Amino acid sequence: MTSHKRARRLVAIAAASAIAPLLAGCTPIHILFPPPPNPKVLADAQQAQTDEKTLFAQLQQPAPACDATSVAPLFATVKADLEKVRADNVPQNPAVDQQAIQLEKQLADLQAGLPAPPACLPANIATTQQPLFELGLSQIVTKETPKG
Amino acid sequence: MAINVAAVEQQVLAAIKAAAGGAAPASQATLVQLAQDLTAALAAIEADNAAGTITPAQAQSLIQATVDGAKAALVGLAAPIAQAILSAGLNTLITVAATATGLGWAVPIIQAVVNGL
Repeated sequence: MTSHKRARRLVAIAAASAIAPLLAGCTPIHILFPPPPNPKVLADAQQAQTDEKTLFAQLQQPAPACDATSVAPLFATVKADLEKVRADNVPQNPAVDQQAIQLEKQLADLQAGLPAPPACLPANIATTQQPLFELGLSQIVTKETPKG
Repeated sequence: MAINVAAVEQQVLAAIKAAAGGAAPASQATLVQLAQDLTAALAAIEADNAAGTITPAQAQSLIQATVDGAKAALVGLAAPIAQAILSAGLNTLITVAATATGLGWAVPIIQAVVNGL
């Protein structure tokens, strides 16, 4: 390497070292410039909204409709909807991806909290978990809805 | 244990606002909604746990579900909130809500869940 090239390399390293701490405190680029609304993700998220309403409604039905065995297919349907949200999220909006992951976790933990049949989850648990789930899901719909 | 849900909501909301100090006005409505939903979910778990209608193992799963739901809502905020602040905020608000709703015994469980996010 010539002395000229070495000097340029050192300048580049010094510049990068000076800029890095400044960039560390900046807002991530995907937040400043998120991808444009994605109609596929919007449709997937809206389908998830429809299916989660069915799921939470059935969780509040009398036994045996509300027991873990009966609601298992509905949990699977909403999970599949959220997986589709992630699969169609191209180019990826990282916030949407993370939200879908968290919502899948919420569903999985909720399902794990169901009692063994023939018992059902107390209705107040279902009615208070639903708004929390819907809050995150509605944010995805809002993000993916075209503006204006 | 009688729970003053409105008072808890105010505490939770204050914790969220303190942690997410840079939140844009548009995010404030979401924060208020999150405070209400989070408190209601934890209060329901606490009530059923105290009444013996759910087992401690069920309560733990349901608390984890609640934390996951809160995290999903916070991640979706449009405000330029750094991840570290989000984590701190979530940790704070969960601890406030859990303690105030009588789920203080579950705080270590909740913190473990939050730390693993």
